[in-house]
Amino acid sequence: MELFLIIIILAFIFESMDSMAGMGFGTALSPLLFLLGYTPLQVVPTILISEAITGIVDTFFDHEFKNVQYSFRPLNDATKIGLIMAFFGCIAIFTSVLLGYFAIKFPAIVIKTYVAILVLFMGISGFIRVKLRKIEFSKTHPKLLIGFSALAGFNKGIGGGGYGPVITMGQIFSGVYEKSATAIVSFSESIVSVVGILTFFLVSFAGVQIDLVLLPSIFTGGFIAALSAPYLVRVLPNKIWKYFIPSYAFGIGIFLLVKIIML
Amino acid sequence: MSIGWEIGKEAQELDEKSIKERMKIERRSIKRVGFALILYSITIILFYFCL
Repeated sequence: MELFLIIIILAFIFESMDSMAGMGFGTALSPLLFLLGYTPLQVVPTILISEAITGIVDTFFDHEFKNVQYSFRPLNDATKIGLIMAFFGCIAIFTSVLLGYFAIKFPAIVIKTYVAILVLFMGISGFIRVKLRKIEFSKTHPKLLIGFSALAGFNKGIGGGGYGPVITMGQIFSGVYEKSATAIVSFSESIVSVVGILTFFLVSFAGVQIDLVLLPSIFTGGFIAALSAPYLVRVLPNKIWKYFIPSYAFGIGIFLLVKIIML
Repeated sequence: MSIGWEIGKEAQELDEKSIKERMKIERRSIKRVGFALILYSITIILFYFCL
C-alpha cells in the first residue's frame, strides 16, 4: 500500500468543495487524475468507493452539526428528498450500464456540451435567484425538485455527468435552504455511489481488471474533508453559501466547456 | 412531501446565532469525531494488509 501526498491533497480539496457546494468530486478530480497518468480503471472504482464511504461520513456529520436533520421513522422531508434523488441517480447508473452493454452511443460532444451549458446556466440563474429572493422569499416547490432530480438522472444516464450541480441547484431553486441542500446531495450521492460500486464489481466479474492503488490516498483526503467540511458549513453563515454554490457551479460549467474544447 | 417543508429549519435557527455560538460543538460530537478517526485508522490498516 502506498500513500501519495499530492493525491491526498487533491482528494481533500475536491471532497471539501463537493461537501460544501454539493458538486465536483468526480467531475473535477477524475480529469486531473487522468492528466497525472492514471487509467479509468484505476480512477473510476476508487472514486466510487471513496465517495460512498466519505458520503456516509459526511451525511452523518451534517446531521450531527445540524446542517440538516434526517429521520426514517417517521420519514421527514429531507430524507424523502435524498431518497428521491438517489432513486433517479441509481436509475441513471443502470441506464448508462445498459447503454454500454447494448453499445448504444449518443454523440458525446453534443451531450457534454448540453450538460456544460445547463450547469453554466444554473450557476448564473443561482445568482439571479439570490437577487429575486429579496422579493419572493422562501417559496417551496416540491414538484420542481422531482423534475430536477429526473433531469440530473437523465443527464448522468446518457453519459453527460453533471449530477451534483443539477440536483444541488435544483434543490436551491425548489426552496431548500442552501446549507441543507448540499448536505442532502452528500446523502443521495453516497447511495448512488454504493450502487455504482456494485455495478462496477459486476462489470469486473465480467473480466475487467480494476486497480485500487489510489484508494488509500483518495480515501484519506476524502475522509478528512468529510469530517471538516460539515463543521465549516455549520460555522460559516448561509449568506456565503448562497454565493459560493452558484459560483462553483458556474466554475464547473466553464471547466466542462474547456474540457470539451480541448478534446 | 409537504408544501411548506421545514428542511434546514435547525440550520436557519443556528444561523441566527453568533459565529462563536456556531463554533461550539457538543461533547458528544467531539467523541463521534474521535470514533470516526479510529474507524479511519482501522480501514487504513485493512488497506495495508489487503491492497
